[in-house]
Amino acid sequence: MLATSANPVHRLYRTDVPRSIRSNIKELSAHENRIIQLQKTIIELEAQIRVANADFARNQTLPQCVAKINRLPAEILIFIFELALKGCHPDISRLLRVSRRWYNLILDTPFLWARIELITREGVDGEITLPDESYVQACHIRSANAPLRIFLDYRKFPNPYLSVEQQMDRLLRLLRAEDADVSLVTELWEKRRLHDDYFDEEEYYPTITSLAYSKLFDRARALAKELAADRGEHMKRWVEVSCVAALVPEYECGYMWCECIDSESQLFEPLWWPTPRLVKLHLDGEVELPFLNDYEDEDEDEEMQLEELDIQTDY
Amino acid sequence: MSITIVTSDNEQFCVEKLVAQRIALIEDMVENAGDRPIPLPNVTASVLRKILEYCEHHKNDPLPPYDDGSRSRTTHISEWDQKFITVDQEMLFEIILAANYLEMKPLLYVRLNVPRVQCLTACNAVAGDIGCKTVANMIKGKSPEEIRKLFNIVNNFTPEEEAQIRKEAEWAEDR
Repeated sequence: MLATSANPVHRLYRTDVPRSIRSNIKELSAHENRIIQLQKTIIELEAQIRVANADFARNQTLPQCVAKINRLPAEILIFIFELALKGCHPDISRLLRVSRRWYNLILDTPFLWARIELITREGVDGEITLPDESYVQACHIRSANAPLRIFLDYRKFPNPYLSVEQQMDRLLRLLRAEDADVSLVTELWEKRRLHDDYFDEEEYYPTITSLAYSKLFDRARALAKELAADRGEHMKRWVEVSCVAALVPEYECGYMWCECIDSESQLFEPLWWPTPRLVKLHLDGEVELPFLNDYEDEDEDEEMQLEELDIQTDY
Repeated sequence: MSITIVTSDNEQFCVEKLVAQRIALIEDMVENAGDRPIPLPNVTASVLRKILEYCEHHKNDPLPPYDDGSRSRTTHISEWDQKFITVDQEMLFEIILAANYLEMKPLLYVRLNVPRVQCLTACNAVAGDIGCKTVANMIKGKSPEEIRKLFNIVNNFTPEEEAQIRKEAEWAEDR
């Protein structure tokens, strides 16, 4: 630092001093004022350097390829999004939140919204989930009039019925939550289990419907209604449907089978509107999709003009 | 028969014609260039070396069929391709950009008269394609914060905008 004072210098001159000395003193004062001005500038520049250094340190922590991905042209980025969303399309909401460029690009590309994936997924807590109906609404609106591809995958639907053991666990949990004595119940349970070989067989299951199943069934039913919204207007845009269902339990025994089939029919019931542009159909499992009934008419004009058909019914 | 290619950093590559023909841009230029070297002002030597490595390995593969966008596409990458594309991010994006340039997509869009995005999938089925698949696989299943961190993307939303977008996108959360 050159000086501590930043005030201009003012001197009082003696009248008896020779003119030449007075002139020198005056010149000296001008220099001193100039020095003070420069000191002020230095202080300001030092403050700017501190700010710049702080920014530099922050930016230095990033590798050299800062946002290299943003150099990609829009069409390539869109292609990458399309690939990244395959099998997890509801994650489109995550991509929207990355940056303003990604947000605008995704919203301005109806093609990216023309795919609806309703897939049962297992969360971290083991709960089976499906997307919200508003996801289907967003895809309907943001896809504009683009041809729609629909993917329904209900393979992870929970078993509709609770086993006797599951029912017992549930009962014990409830009793323990109330601090009730469970010793008598557990004693009876153990006794019964030891002496009754058929106690926990599957034919005893349908006494109580699983809450997880009911909840998910209601959501899947609401999603089917949303797919058929506006009197099936969006179904006219369907060009591809893939449906993998596993609602029917693997065991076949009497009325349970029929009951499950009935439930499944209810699930897809709203989807009875025509799908005139459908060219690809993939069905896996015992699936009855009402919109396919039209094509089963004897009238040849109604016959389905599919380019790809893949039906597997292993049940 | 071979041809000479000159990169943006003035390095010359003598390439077998069969290999060079995997690159649409060069194939088009060969006819007009005669015996003169073909300049590639948008591609550096290090990137061209990688592209040529890919072309050399795949020189006898049948050319990919035209894809109108309806074909089922996966993010699967073969073992050799996976090894080939195991590069740093800098090189990964350079490969994608170079493949994009070398495939001359804008001209193809005009020629084929199909939507750009759909056409991209047809002509991108070379080195750039596995580059895109690699980036897609890197994105899959990640949160916005993780994606930003991975690619050093600056979050340029204001806090208010971010809150609004989060609210708008609540719909996609599984229940």
